[in-house]
Amino acid sequence: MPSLLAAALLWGAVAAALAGQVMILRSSRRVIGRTPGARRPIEWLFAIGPAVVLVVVLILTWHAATRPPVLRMDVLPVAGELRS
Amino acid sequence: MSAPGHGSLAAAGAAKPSRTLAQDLVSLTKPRIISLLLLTTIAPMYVAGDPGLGTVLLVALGGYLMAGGANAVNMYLDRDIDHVMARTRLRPIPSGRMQARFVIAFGVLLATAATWLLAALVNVLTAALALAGFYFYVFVYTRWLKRTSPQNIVIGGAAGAFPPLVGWAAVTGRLDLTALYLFLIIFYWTPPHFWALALNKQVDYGNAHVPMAPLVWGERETKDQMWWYTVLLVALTVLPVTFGAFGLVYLVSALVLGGVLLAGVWRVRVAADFAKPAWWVYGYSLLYLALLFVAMVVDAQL
Repeated sequence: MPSLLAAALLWGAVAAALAGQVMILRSSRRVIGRTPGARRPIEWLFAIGPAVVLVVVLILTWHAATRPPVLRMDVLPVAGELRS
Repeated sequence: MSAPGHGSLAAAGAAKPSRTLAQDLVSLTKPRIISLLLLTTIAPMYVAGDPGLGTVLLVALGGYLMAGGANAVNMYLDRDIDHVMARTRLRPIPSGRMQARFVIAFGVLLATAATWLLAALVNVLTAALALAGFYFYVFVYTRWLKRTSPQNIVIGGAAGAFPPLVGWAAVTGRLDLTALYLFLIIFYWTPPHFWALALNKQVDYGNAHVPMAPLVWGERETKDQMWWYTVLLVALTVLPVTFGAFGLVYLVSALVLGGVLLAGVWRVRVAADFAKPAWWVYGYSLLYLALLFVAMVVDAQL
């Protein structure tokens, strides 16, 4: 895949994922505000936990996608060099 | 709350003679649900490597036993509410065809057999992941979250996301970023899928006092979250392509399948009468997940 297209795919998908997660958190803030007080911390944990995991995975993805390819250099000597 | 399920097997046979014991035992494992779980277990095996047929059959058998055991224990734990809901009142315990104690023993036996099978004949990591999925479904989802939190489906959805990890570990003996993505895809697929059902089954869930999102948050917030979960899901399905886990065939499949799902969920979000579109999303999302995993295998084998 051309690098420009790959970069567009990466950042477009990351932006969509983050936008989705932010909108879920905004909606969670509205609905958790209406739940009884004692349950609020645990409901917040359920909302924030997946968001934290998502951010970690996106960082790992960015590292994996932008990692330079590993070049393998075969260093077997050619026959002429062996003879000399 | 009442506790049905103390009738004898003999009495049950008289009540509904057309069902045999064997049919009831199979129904305790919820085979229709397990078929999708097995697909999401086996497909990742062919993405991760080149598994032998023996390994695939062992993992399929172990996966069926573990998921079947979890489903049987779930029916035991939910025996007090299953008779309230129309879609569950014909299950073996609420209909009086089986004793509750028999059902839990059957479930634990299946899970124990699955753990031994996977640990002894595949590898310990595979067995540990399958058992973790069992415990998560039984204790975290069924026992704790299902009746206490409207986010029961969100967090409990992790239980259904274990199968790809099981399949991946069976072939590679470890987990990596691609396996984590397969887990997340099912995790984020679960809320829109089950909330589509919950929107149409609010009376049932209300009667059983299960705090599903549409009942607690309201329909508008639920439909909003369905939409954003689907946006997030489709974005996640694309990302493995960016680090080389999948190629063009998978990318095109993910975008087309995801586009159709997004269109369906959007119809649920904007429709005043959401019943039909919600049923459509419930059905299509099953097909979506199955075809997405098939596309992964096709792409990996090309």
